Amino acid sequence: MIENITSAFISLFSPEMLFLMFCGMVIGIIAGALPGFSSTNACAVMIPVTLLMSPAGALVFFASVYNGAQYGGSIPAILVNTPGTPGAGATTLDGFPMARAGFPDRALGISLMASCIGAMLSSVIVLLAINPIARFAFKFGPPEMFVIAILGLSIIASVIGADIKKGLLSGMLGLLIAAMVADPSSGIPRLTFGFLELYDTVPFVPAVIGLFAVTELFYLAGKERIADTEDTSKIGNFGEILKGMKIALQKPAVTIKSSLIGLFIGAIPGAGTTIATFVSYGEAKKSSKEPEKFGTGIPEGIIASEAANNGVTSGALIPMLVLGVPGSGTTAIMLAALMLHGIRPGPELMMNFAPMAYMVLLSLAFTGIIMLLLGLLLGKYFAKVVLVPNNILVPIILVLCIIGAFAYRNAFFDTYLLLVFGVLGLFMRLGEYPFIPMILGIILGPMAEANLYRSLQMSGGDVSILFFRPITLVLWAIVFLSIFRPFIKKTVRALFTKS
Amino acid sequence: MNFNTKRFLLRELPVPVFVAIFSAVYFFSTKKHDFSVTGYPYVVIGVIQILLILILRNVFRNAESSDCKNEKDLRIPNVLALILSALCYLILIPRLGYYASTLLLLVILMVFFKVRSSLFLFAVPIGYVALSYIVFRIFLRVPLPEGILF
Repeated sequence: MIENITSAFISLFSPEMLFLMFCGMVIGIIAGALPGFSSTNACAVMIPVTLLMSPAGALVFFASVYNGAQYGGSIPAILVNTPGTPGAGATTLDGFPMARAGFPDRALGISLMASCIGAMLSSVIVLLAINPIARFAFKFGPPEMFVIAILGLSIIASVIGADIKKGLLSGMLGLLIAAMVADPSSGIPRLTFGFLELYDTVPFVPAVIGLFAVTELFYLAGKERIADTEDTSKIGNFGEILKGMKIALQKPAVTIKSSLIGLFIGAIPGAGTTIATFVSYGEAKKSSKEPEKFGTGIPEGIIASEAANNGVTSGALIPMLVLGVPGSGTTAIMLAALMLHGIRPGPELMMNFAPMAYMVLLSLAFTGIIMLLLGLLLGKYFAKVVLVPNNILVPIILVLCIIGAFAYRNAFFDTYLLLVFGVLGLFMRLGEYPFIPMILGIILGPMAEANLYRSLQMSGGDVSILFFRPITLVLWAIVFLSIFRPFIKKTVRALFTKS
Repeated sequence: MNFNTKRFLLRELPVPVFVAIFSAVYFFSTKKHDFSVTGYPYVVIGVIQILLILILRNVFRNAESSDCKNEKDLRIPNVLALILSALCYLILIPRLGYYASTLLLLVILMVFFKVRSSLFLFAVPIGYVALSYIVFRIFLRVPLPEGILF
């Protein structure tokens, strides 16, 4: 293994690879920063271009785009409350309040450093432990995936807001909206209103952009500019970016834990970046000494989301490289591109092209450094967005939101859905209903339902399959702890105080 | 009913009313299906009904005494302008094409939001359309809708 890593390291620093990493990172950041566009879109359109590259070059290029897009998604999430990628949804929760309070550069600095550490740490771990992680991830069958969905839903408890009933209603509405599609077992449409676009899935990109961005636009239209503060001297300030980076470095526990959560969830095929970021955010909030400050613009909230979404990148590569099964949309594109080059990812790749696989993982760590340099150079210019007058910014963001919703599936239906979610979001915000539970419901509902159905089919209707498998037992314990930890903590503390 | 109570109800009621109507429509239009198809959503609807009762009880209990948060940034004409212009934009895109309708929307919204400088009124929409042509058409090769113009 050491020999392979050394050879990969040497090949990575050729001028060709450095150029590809830089280009991939720039393209990734741009695609990530455009709402509705993701690394998957960017990689898909770049497939023809990669035919001119070597197979290793193509993989390194895609990995850089993937990594760059995860960071790029945080830029509009922080500056205009519009997640550039679905994985940056949780970044808006603390990133935007911090930007509005007059510290956009600091928020960008925190996000930059957390993304960089998330990418580097997870890729180094994967580099050293790719085989055992892949073997473990593939023990996850439908029962385990069902409990993973429940674990994600249990996060609702921690992002619920002040009124528990309103938070739960928001989550339940998300589950019901997600259940409008055809039944996963029989294919019978339930409440699709005759729209073919709703037959398979309720698309979550228009839902996320509609709830967060369009709703925010309604409010921004009544303000002069995004920044609430009069003192604008700290906006577009290089020192503030450095300060943000320093803050992220001062919170290693959150950064490391979030990167590992991202890596672990990313390695499970189909689990996705969004789940990883919300699980990570919920975990950071629950383990914080000041959970009530989450959502007001605290660094831990940004770190939890950003370290996790870059951690996912390395995690998602594991099943693709080791078993030839994509762990995410982007890795599916990478897999297709490799096949175009005549290489079949999977055990064969790890045997015959091991240096190439290690090179991709090393490139993820190295692109973390390129990301850091680009973020440092451009961050202060990005931050000035909060000073642009809203009468210019609002029309532009509206157009970007609409085209982002359209580009996700090339469907006009999604743009109308975006407006529906925007208006619903406005009323939810007026009534103080939190958005996150609804988003979690829309994303996790189909996953929970489909895996519940598959599990019951596997067991012939025996529910115990969901509980009495080694991994599900551990996962249920985590779900239990995730929901009842504050109560357990309080009880244990009370017992100690008494004794 | 005083003004504050009315405002409180207008803020608190739309979401529960929407959820109640949505779940009723869901229930009645899927009643004909087998329980294996609708079992899971019906459990969700059941929980929603319980939550709705609890929320509505709270709303009517607090209606008289609650203070209404002042939403100073939210202006109804702005909200309506954004929704209507977005709808018109969506109708126009398949006819005029993405670039022409975007140009139109940006100019109309900027005039509505009182952008005084004529330089901005022309430069921003044209700059945005040119940039989006480069990014979407040339760089990302996204097939954006084309119409009679371009």
